[in-house]
Amino acid sequence: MSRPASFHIGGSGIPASASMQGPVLGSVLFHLALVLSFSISLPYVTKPLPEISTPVSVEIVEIDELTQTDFAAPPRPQVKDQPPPEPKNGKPKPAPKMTAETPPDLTEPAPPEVETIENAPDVVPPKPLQRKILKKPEPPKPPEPEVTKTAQAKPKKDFQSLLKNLMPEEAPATEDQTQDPPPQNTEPAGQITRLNDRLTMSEQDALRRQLAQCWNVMAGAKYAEDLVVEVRVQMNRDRTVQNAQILNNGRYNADTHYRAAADAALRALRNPRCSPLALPEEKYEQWKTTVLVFDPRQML
Amino acid sequence: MRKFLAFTLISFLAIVFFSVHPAHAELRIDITSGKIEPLPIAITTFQTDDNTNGQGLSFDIPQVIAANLERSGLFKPLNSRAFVQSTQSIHQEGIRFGEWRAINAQALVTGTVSRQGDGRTRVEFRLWDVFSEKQLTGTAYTTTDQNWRRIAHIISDEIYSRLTGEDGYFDSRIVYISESGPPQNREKRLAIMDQDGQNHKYLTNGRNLVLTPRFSPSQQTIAYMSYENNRPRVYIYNINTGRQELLGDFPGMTFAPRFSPDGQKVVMSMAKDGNTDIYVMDLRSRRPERVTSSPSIDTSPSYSPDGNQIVFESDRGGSQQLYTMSAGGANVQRITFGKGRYGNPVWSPRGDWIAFTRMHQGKFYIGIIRPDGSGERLITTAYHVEGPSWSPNGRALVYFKERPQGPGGTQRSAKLYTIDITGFNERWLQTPRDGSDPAWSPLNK
Repeated sequence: MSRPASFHIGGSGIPASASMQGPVLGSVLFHLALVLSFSISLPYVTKPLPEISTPVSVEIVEIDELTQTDFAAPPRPQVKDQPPPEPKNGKPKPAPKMTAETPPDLTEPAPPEVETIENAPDVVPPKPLQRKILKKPEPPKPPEPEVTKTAQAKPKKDFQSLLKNLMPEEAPATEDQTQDPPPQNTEPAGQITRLNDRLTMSEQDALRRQLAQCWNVMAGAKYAEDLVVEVRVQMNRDRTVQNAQILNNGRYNADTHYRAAADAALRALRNPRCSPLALPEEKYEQWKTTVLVFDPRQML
Repeated sequence: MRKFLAFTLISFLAIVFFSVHPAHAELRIDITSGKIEPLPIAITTFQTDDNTNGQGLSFDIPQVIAANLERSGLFKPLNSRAFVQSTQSIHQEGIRFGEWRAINAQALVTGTVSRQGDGRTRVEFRLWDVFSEKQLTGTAYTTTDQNWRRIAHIISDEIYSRLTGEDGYFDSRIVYISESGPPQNREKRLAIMDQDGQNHKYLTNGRNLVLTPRFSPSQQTIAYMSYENNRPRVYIYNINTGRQELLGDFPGMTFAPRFSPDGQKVVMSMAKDGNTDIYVMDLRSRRPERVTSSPSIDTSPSYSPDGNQIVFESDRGGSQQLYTMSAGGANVQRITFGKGRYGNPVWSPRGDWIAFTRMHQGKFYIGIIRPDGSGERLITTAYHVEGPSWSPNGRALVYFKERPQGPGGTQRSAKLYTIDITGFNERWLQTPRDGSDPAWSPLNK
């Protein structure tokens, strides 16, 4: 049994033979090359991949398919009981002039015909005698109504604000209109998914279009633009909502305006008109847990 | 050596693999499009076992609730003919939510009316979320039968409040100027009614012209201008006692009064020696205090809900525009810069908007603007529309529209209207005669 030769370089007092110089040099060169290649390539490992390496989902679709999402015309309540149109050319009469038309009479104590609600014993404002939240009785579970129709919005108007403004072009110079619109797609950058698994823009738009038919915006609420509600939705494979959870629970309990806005968002998700949700079944892994951000800012 | 190389290689591959593997993240989708649509709500008749006055209240109360909610424009009460489950069935078997979902109801109101031993009536209601099958709110009230309308209004307010997050405004009244007769001899009487037009009463007999009534926010008092002795001056009227009182004996003409939010002061204009300025009168000390002192016409002052600021109209900049200032008169800032003239500013009780009248190119508009001058929107227009007054929750406005009538347009007709601040749901508020200068009361106490 032969033992492999052992070499001690330096410190042993035994000189290295001349025949060893070749392999040592080779080894040194190899290690140098290795260090050099690591020093060049490793920084690229730690750096984020260049953007160009991120797959870009490109889908060829009809133009109208992409452009109708945010322009779905909300149904406008009709003005009721409005009188016939006013004459357009007539000169408006001034406000009532302050000229006395009646003879002076300082002694007029007008007869109080109004019932004194606060003082009359029989018309004292009713006090709530009790406020009790009774346990909800167990309701019988009838079969859910089958709703197979998924609403599709038809674009009818070309601006996004839901609010009425008779002279928008004359907005004063001080109006702050510089607010950036919120990002449409907040999917984290750099995420690499298999191209076929990603939700395309038109697939996301389909969901937006559908929910736009079920989401009742609290447009007239105080500072309604601040009522952005985030809901984490866990979904079943059949595209129905399994569980919907308001993310800002603290504000939900503290702010009645926010609570109403959040309830409206939840009602949108539970609305039979929006069930099942317009999502591609084959990409269930992508949308089985989704955060939906109900953001009214662009509409106000 | 091989082991070392293998280790190095594996480490290298591990570094490369983990550095490029994507972090798993939830999908986020922004929903930026919605609609303004009335919420479908089912309001059932109330269950009752009281046969002493028929089933009147069990029908009447839900009807008033439905009318209130419908008029707000935010709710769509469903036709009771579409109801599948009966009131009796609800109270015997419980609510079958699926049947209410089937008729597209999103909220459900149930209730009971019962007679108590002392002869008073107990009214109980519950509001349900049909989708989540949960009770949202529920309250019981006990009162006399005569008070049933207020009960219905209070319940309407509770439903409105729970579903919108804002206070309601149904348990409130509107005071206005009732007008009748030809233009040359127009009779103007102070009148008051519930916000839905019911319980209408006249407060003055029409012998003196009265204008611009304003409700006190804290008590049942109205300030207005009256032409007694041919001198237009501000008077205070107590609804409970029917007593009218002159507010300070000023040397000049006083007009455009408005109460401070605490009801302790009245801010108004006084014209004297060709100049109009704003004064504040403390109702306890009855001492007037001058707030503005510019050579221009400063008028139509209105307090912010915290009482710290006043909005008013002034022509100090050359044209009639709106300005804000501190309650003491300092820090005057112009907030409107549009074409035409702005007037009659009224600060919302919610604090977020100021309503105004704008006149431009021969047309009148009612508009709203943020107190900092941003976000101006004009929400209604007419031949002559003026005098906006806020609902107690700052959500709706009441005002009047005038239009010419009769041969040659010599007559005129004035009607009261309400509108939501979104600019939709404009409604005619019916009055026995013509109506102008409406003022919405605070919520009844």
